Formats: sequence, C-alpha cells, structure tokens
Amino acid sequence: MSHELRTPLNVIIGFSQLMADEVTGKVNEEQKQCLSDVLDSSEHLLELINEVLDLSKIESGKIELTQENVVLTEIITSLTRSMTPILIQRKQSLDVEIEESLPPVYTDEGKLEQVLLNLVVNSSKFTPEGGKLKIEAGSNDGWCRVSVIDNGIGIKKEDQERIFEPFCQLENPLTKEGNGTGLGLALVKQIVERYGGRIWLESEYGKGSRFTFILPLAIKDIHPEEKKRQ
Amino acid sequence: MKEKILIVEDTPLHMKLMEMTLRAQNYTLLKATDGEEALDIAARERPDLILMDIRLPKMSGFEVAKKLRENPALSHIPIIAITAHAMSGDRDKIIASGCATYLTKPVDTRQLPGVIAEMLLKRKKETPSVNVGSNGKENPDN
Repeated sequence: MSHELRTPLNVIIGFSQLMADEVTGKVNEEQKQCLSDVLDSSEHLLELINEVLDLSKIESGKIELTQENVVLTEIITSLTRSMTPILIQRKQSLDVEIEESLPPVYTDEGKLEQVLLNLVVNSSKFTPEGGKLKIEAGSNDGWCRVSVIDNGIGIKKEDQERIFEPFCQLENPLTKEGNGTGLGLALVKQIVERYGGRIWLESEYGKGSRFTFILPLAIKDIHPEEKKRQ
Repeated sequence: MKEKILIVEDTPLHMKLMEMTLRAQNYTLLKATDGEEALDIAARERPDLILMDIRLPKMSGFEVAKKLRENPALSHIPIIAITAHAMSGDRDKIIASGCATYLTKPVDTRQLPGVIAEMLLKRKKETPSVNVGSNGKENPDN
C-alpha cells in the first residue's frame, strides 16, 4: 500500500527538483516559484500519506503493540529541546510540572513521544505570540495523567466534539503558513486508545485549551524484571 | 572515454527520471527494462556501474546481482540497488546478493549523481586497469 501511494509522488518530486535545479534548462523567477510551490505541496502530501498510513495501521489493529516501562521525564526533556526553535520563534514559554517520583508508564516510547509532540505543536499553533504553554503530569490510581495546556484562542463548544475526527481542521486566525494535515489529533486519540488510555479536551473559546490523556502505569506484578531495572 | 552506466528499471517514468538526473554528468547511459535484458546488456557492453531497481519483472534484482557475481567477466561491476522497502531484512539480502550499496525510494535526484561519482572513483582506485579489448575478451591480468 505505502509503495503504491508513494511511487507516483516520487516521480512528481523528482521531476520538479530537476526543473527547479535547471537540469532541463533555464527557468525564470516566476517558474521557479511555481516549482517551489509544487515541491512544498508534494512534501505536504507525502506527510499526509505517511500519517494516513499510520492511522490506518492503528485502526486496522495491524501495529505491533510494543509496551515497556517508559520514564515520562526523559521524553518531556527531549520534547522541550526539539520544540525550542519553534517556541523562540513564536515567543512562547513552555512550563513543565511533573509529579515527583512519577512511576513509569507502560506504553510504547516512540508513540508516547508522538502523542506529546502532536499535542504541544497543536497548542503552540493555536496560541498567539507571547503565549504560555504547559505540560502537567501526575498519577492517580494506576493511571498516568498528562495535560497539555495553553492560553491560546480556545475551541468553540460546537467544535470540541469533532476535534479528534480525521481531517477536522479548525480555522486558525493566527497563522498564514500552511495548515497541518488535519490528522495530528486523530492520530493522538487512536494511539492513546490503542494503548488502553483515554483522551479528552476542556476549552473555553478565547481563553485557552487543556488536552488531557491518561495511560496505564507500569504494573509491577506483571512485569517484575522490567520493574526491577527502574 | 565516457563511463558507461546501465540503468535497470521497468517503469518508464522512473527510467526517464533517472536518465534526466544523470544527463548532465557526461556518462553513456544504457537502459534495460527487465532482469534478462540487464544481463544481456551487461555482458555485451561491460558497463562501469549498474543502477538497478530490485523490483523487476521476470527476474528479481537479487537474481540479476547473483548472476552477475557468478560471471568472472562481470563480477567486478559495482551495483547500486534501488529499493522501496527500508526493511533491515531486505538490506541484508541486497548486500548478500552482491550489490555494493543500495538507495531507498524516493531516490533523491540531488543526491544520486554524487553517490554514483563516488562509487566510480572508489572502483577505479581498487581496480587500476580493467581493459576489455574490442573482441570482448578480458585482459589477462584481470
């Protein structure tokens, strides 16, 4: 499936690059701009294809569930590092508040990273310059609870229900740059639920949003060896 | 003399893309659209390098690579395999079949000329003189 979807796109990207690089002859400024737009859109499409494939793999239950004890602090540290350039550019702050001695989460490290990154990127996108973002993590009754909070533009009541649906893209007055794929939050929800968790949203239009998800904490009785390593 | 590169690719559009990518590089380009044709052309033309899609009709790229390796007259030709699968199992299979290296699709048109030039240069250093006479017979010191 992935082969069939990507192959034609490779041809589009390849020829556009060749033309933009003037391998096929001289191109004027306007043509160069057109080619650069073709390339941008192709890359956007490639990203979409990758996310649709990810999503369908999860939906069809075809992904292998790899679960291990994951230390949330480490993931959040690397996440804040990779977010720094965007945050500086948008003059936004990102606070982190993690409960002391939070037990490890029993999930897939890469997937958890993807969930958090999608949520933080999303919050940042819908928060004006100079806004505040925050990650809160704590535990309760065998569950790890993580919230991504912003004081951005918020989400209207009528939009809150469909925000996790694929291709639901709310209008964003803050950004003129290309929109996302509309799949980020859908993917987040699918992953969280696949790993036995739940995700929900609290938001007031004009004031900000709070996305919260819960995932099971590592259970010591089932995985004694892994637990010992912590 | 211009170096000869054999491109083995069954999809016409991809073939065209490869050709255009390498057009500016002053190579003689030879083309084959399936494994059998690739073996024929390789035996007749003795290219300096083979760029080959692994997914081919009739005979897979793995088999072509193996057959080339078994032929002492052709075994020195470096093969760059092109594969759509980035699986580690495939990687091992590609190297085991005798390919020098591999690229995954999408092949970056901005990167390919460099990879080829580097491979040709490396091969030249390793085998200083591989002269093939006009009768197609090998130089005895090969």
